[in-house]
Amino acid sequence: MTDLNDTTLGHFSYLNNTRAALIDENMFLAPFINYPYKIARSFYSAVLSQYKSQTGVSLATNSAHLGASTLVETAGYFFSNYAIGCFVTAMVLNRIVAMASLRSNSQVARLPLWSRFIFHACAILALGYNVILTLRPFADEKPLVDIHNYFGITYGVICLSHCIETFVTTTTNLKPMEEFDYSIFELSMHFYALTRSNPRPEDFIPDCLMALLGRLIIHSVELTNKRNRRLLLSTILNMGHLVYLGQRVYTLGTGSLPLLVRYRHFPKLLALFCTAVSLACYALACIARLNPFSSNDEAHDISDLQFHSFMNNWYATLNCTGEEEFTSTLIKLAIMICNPEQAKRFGLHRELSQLRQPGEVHKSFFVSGYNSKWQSIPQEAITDGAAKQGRTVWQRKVTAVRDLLVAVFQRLKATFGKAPTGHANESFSEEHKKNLNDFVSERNYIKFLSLAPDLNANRIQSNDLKYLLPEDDFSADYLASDDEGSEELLEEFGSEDEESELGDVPLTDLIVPPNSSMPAQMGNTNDLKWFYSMWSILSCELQHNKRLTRSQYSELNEPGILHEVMMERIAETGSSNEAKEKSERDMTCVVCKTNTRNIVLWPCKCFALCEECRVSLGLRGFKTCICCRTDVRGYSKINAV
Amino acid sequence: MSQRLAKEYRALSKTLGRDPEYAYIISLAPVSEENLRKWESLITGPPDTPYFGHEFTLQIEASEAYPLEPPKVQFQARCMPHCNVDFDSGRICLSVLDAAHWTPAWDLLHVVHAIWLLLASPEPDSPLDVDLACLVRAGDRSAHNSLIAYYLNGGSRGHCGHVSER
Repeated sequence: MTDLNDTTLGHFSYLNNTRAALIDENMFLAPFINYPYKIARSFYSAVLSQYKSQTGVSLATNSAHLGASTLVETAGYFFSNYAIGCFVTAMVLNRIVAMASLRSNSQVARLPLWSRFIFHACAILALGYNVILTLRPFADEKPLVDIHNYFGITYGVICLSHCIETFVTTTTNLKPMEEFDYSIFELSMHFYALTRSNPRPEDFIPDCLMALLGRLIIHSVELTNKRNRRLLLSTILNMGHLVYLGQRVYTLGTGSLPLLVRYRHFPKLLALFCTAVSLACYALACIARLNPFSSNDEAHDISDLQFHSFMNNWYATLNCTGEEEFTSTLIKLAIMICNPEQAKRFGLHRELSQLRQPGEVHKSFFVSGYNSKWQSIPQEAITDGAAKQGRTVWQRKVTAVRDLLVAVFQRLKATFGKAPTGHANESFSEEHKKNLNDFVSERNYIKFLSLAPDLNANRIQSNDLKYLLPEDDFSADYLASDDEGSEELLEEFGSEDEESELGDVPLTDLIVPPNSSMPAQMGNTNDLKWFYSMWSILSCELQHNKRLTRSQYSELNEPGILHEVMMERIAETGSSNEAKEKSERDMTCVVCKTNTRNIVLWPCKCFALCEECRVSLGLRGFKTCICCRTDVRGYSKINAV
Repeated sequence: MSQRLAKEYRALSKTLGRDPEYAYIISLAPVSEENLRKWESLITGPPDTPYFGHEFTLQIEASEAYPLEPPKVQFQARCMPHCNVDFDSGRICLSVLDAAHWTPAWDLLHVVHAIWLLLASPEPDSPLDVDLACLVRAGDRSAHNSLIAYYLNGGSRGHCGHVSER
């Protein structure tokens, strides 16, 4: 045992942590704290030694020890300066955007021109210095600073540039420009990976240069107030880079590119490939149509090609403001080319294509209520909260006192003004026998129902007794009549009648046989409908041999009800087809008259818009409802099925 | 591109000539079917006004952003004497045509109808023709009407002299 222990310790020296202790061994509960500590320490030193041995060899043989070393490297990233820098920058950016939410919606705060100039000039100076630093090795073969310092400085400058840009844009109510290829997170990983290895200058300098120049472009277009030129500049820069990449792959082969570079430029290259292939196909199709080599002049028209309209105005379809970045625009174009449906959605056939909806906007940018979506029916909209919101304490006090006074006045009026009549009512009702209607509740009405026939029987004797039936029902419901109309109706109900006889159920007075229940004034359609609906319930009662409530009936005879309703609807709408057509046409959005309406506005509850027009209106800063001019505070989307 | 204008055109061809409410509109259609952004309308003056029995041409131009922005509407230059219409250019002062008061729920028919109603009820508080506005404000209806009738029946009118008087 001891031998084994010794040899093991000899091999794995890091396991020997017996002397390490957090607290004194003699203390109470010391082992409970010290043992876990020792184990953790051993584990830590094991990882450390493993890591040391791996990095020693990893430079020589890269692929052999991929597992452990990559794991450690990845874990090491989270403790590197770059990760911390990335985290801090992200937090600062987040705070800057959140800070913008403190501004009121109505007032647009603007930075004075000089401050904007100073901010951008700072960033440009720092970036320019860094570009010089990057290009230094090419000039005199001697780097200005140590390579690790260089990465740190570059990353810091880029973070600073991000912060400045976000601050300036959010305070001027603009959207910060984004870098698609070189986000700060990706850059931090890239730089970390570069510091771990020993990179050759040509591996990292193009990327650093691209990132720095990209930021420089952003700052210079912001400074000169020409944000819409960014796409152009970015395209030029990226084209240059792509040419460089192509040349390098051509001369040195694909393997010469580091993994991170390949990964970074993959989406761009894929998009470029798709676009190029599609363009080639389109060109081929055009050539086939026009047929320049054929002898006869039978040239076909290329305008009936599926993508003709797209190709003719692809830039308009792309819906660019000019502030985008090359890569994202290229990818968008590729998506559109690959997927016509997508093109339709992105704006080829959109009614109002001049505006592009930003993906995510901070709440503070919601200038109009057309942009703030409310998931449920806002309580505010129901109980008009607008008045309550802006009130001061004093106003609230005044209204409360007023409400109180009104309530007191009404109370007094009720007690004194109505007192004599109320008294008279009481004395009047005392004269009568008890009124059963007063005792009926939802729970016990069944008892009263079964009681009803008996009371009915007594009706002749004591006329002043009250029944469940309406007190002033003087209609001739229970009189048998031999009118022609009733005869006709009787024929209609003939089958039902037979059924009831076959059922052999003793008919109570409530379920009146049809021949006696046909009142003379059946001409009224409402009565007729009521009778029809009652009749189906009654016949169902007879079938099931028990008394049914409406809810019980609906449970038992669901398909029957559905059928009834459908028949009724068909009878109603079938006659007026024109009206139906009209109502369908009226459900299109009032703005575009194309899509169906699916947006309801709060608090006015106007239902007149479609989603696209809502977006357009919101982006244009409409504040009032387009129909009723109420202030719009939110909208909800309705799913019309 | 704009389907909305196409739809309006289609709807108008159905309603016009049928609806007695819009009987005063002789025509309301795009100048050419290729370009739906330029429209022209021919209307007759409302009854019980000096404009009755005369025909007026409205030039309508819907911008790219229509219906989110109001269309530009004006009378033919030097044809419409009205206190809210600039005689020399034909420009109309009407709140509905103002971007602040416009609502996308309205269409061209609404606009023409609003202008037609304006003919019957001049608004002297925002005048583009000061002479006529003064007459309206003074309550001299007959002078106002006969001056308009005079212009409409071929009476000559100075170029900008009437503005400088005030």
